[in-house]
Amino acid sequence: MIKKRPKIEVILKAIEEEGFPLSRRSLRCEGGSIEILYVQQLTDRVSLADFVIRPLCNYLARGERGLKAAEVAENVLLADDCALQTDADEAQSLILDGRVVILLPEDEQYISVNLKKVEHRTIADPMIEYTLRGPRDCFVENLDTNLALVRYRNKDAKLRICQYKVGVRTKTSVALIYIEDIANDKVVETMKKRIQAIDVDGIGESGELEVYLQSGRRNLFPQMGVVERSDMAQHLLNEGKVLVLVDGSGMALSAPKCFAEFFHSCDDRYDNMYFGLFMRITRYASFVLALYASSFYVGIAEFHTDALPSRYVISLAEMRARVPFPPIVGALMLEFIVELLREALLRVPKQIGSAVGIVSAIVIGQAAISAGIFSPLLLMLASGALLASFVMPDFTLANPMRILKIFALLSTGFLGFYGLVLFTCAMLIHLVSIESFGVPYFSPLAPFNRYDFLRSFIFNISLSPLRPKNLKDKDRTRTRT
Amino acid sequence: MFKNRGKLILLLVPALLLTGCWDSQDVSDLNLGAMVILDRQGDELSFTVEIAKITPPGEGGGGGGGTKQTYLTGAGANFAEARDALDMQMDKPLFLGTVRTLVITERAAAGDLAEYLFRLRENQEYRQKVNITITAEEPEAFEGFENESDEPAGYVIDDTIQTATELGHTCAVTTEKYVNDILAGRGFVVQNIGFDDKQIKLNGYSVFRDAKLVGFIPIEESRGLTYISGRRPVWVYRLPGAGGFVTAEVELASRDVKPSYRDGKVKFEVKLAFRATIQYKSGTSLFPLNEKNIKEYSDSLRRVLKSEVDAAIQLSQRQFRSDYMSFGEALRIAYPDEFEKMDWAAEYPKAEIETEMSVDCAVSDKLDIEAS
Repeated sequence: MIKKRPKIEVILKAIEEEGFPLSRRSLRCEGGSIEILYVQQLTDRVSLADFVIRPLCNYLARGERGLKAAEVAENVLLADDCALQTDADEAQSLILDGRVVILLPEDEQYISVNLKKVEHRTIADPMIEYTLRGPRDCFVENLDTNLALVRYRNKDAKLRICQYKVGVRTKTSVALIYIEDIANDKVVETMKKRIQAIDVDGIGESGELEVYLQSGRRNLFPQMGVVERSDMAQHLLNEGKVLVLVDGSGMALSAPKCFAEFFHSCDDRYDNMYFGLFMRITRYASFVLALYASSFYVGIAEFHTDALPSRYVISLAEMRARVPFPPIVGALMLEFIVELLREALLRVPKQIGSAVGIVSAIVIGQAAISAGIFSPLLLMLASGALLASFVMPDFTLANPMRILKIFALLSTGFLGFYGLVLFTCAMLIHLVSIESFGVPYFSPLAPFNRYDFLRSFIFNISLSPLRPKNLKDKDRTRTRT
Repeated sequence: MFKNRGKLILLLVPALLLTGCWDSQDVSDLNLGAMVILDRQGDELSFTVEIAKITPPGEGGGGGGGTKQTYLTGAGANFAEARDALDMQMDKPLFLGTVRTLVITERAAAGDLAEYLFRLRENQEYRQKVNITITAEEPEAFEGFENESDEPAGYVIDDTIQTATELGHTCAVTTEKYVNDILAGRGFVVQNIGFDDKQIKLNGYSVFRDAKLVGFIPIEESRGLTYISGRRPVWVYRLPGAGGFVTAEVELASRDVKPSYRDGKVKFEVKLAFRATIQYKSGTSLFPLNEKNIKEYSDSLRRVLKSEVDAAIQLSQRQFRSDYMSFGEALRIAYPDEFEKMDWAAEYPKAEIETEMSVDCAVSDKLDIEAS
């Protein structure tokens, strides 16, 4: 009896000292009591009663003596995920992670049972990666559910899922997913090292994790993609990409990610090749429109009037006849209002969102033009640019675009088209000089690879027999025919 | 992004010095010129500028109710003084990038046009494709011009000439061509416009020799000229044939000008191939057209075409003594050394020009039997 319950006492004392809310169920037995420790909010209590307490009670009722953790875990408990533990310090984290800890009176080992149950929303339609004909299931905030979706879509034995705990306090589960014989080892290793090197209080969302996984923390352009759809996740894994899922986040991260990939949508794979090409061209055009529309207006109206056919110059002058502000001021004001609208519509409740939209459209569209505050052409261009910015399949590219648009405007406002060209050069220099996990960000354009360029831009990616060269996959053969 | 900040500064400093917001000029703060009229009264040159009326959206009158543009005139002893006098009247800077037509009065064209055309070529404010026309009208007459859409007269003149060019009734010529013609000592023709009941009308061509106006070719007599100089001339002919009148659209299919230079004599063989499509016919006696009728019609058409082309050549050689149909250019290409030595302006009237016509006549599928 000297050895009796030293572990229990240590563990219980430590928990009492921490003082976090804990549920405790004691079952009397020969030599003391079996202590079942769990957090009520994280545990499936029905399963606890059915698969742990009831079998234990039955076992104790038979008058068994000398309870051993190994035997109980093996022969008594009906739960599938039982583990024997010896480290007293770990018990606390196991309980906080949603596991049930069972302490036995006469054993140094204790049992942890996975009966975790966290309330989460059911799998629903995607919110940011909406498609017309693709499957509708998308990731939710539960890691297990997300992993189940990945596993369901990819039954490859080489699919690897490495799990990590990130955050000293939150201990958030993070899963690194890749296909072992396709993914580039260097990317996988880099990712593993970066995840393990994270030393923060906590991670709440994949976006927070992304900041730590990127090579620099001051990047304007995203170096990782955001994946919401499980079918897209499967495509990316087959491409040789590495996915990162974070418990509590409905968005997976994918890497490496190149600039051209931000213009690819799931629909490109499912639709006709020509329609896919047409849509990609539309997206590229939208990017240019969203970035440059207002700047072009400023350049034309303020510096290079002669670049327009003469009849249009007169139309432009007529549209600007009553506008009191210089074009650059008007454009900046309008862009600010557009950003206000965009931000407001994101924050307001859905029920009044449409009302805000209508009122704004009337106030800006009708009243501002009637009052001569903005030129109708500028308003049309700004609206077109706003629409175009929503065309991007991956919204993370739209964010840097919103910032760059202001810089483009200022450059044009100060230096005309010359400034716009300078701005474009600076942006391109930046784009060709950065990398995403060792892959040139602007590939396959720079460095140029004809095969990859044609496959990623013109043809349906799924039809390509080889995986992109720039990803440096272990196995480049996609289709074996 | 830039490892060497020095390079970045080197890149940005010239950029900032080359241009800047101080160069900006809001389009609404400009007087947008639509047409410039050059006139000469005695020793005084004058510029009249048509400034497009700017009407904010929703305030437009429309309906062609009177003059909508502003006309300002500046006069002086030379071009610079005239321009200065004009600028003195401007409430906003004059923007010439929107000017589409330069009208030169016959009085001004009778003097030396070379200086003005050279000045025009060097002036970066004007567009390269600005249209030049000659008129016998007074500059004030343009102020009374009316059209339904209240468009500036300069734009209507340009549109009229563009339309005529697209229809194959005239040949588009640029300032660059005029300047090159003057430099090469060649003559040239410029479209001549006028008013017909306050509407713009293409009257014909003003003929220039040594950059001076020497004559006028009415539009009715200009077909031969377009067949030699036009890009793709198309005209309609109504000639007697097949017991009535037959109307055909005649288009120049190919043009071949072969120069030869022997024993100090210049000779040109001009071969023109036409494609004629019979579109309408009147009368009923000989319908449908048979091969014989078509052949007869084709022959008569060829004779008419030959007479028009020969007349045009004769006019340029005998009356105007001006190579505005650019025969000299063909000779220069074929005999560059000989051409260099000769006085082409003196040689051109003496040159022998033989013409040969061929007409490929066909009947349109949509032939209208009763119409004429």
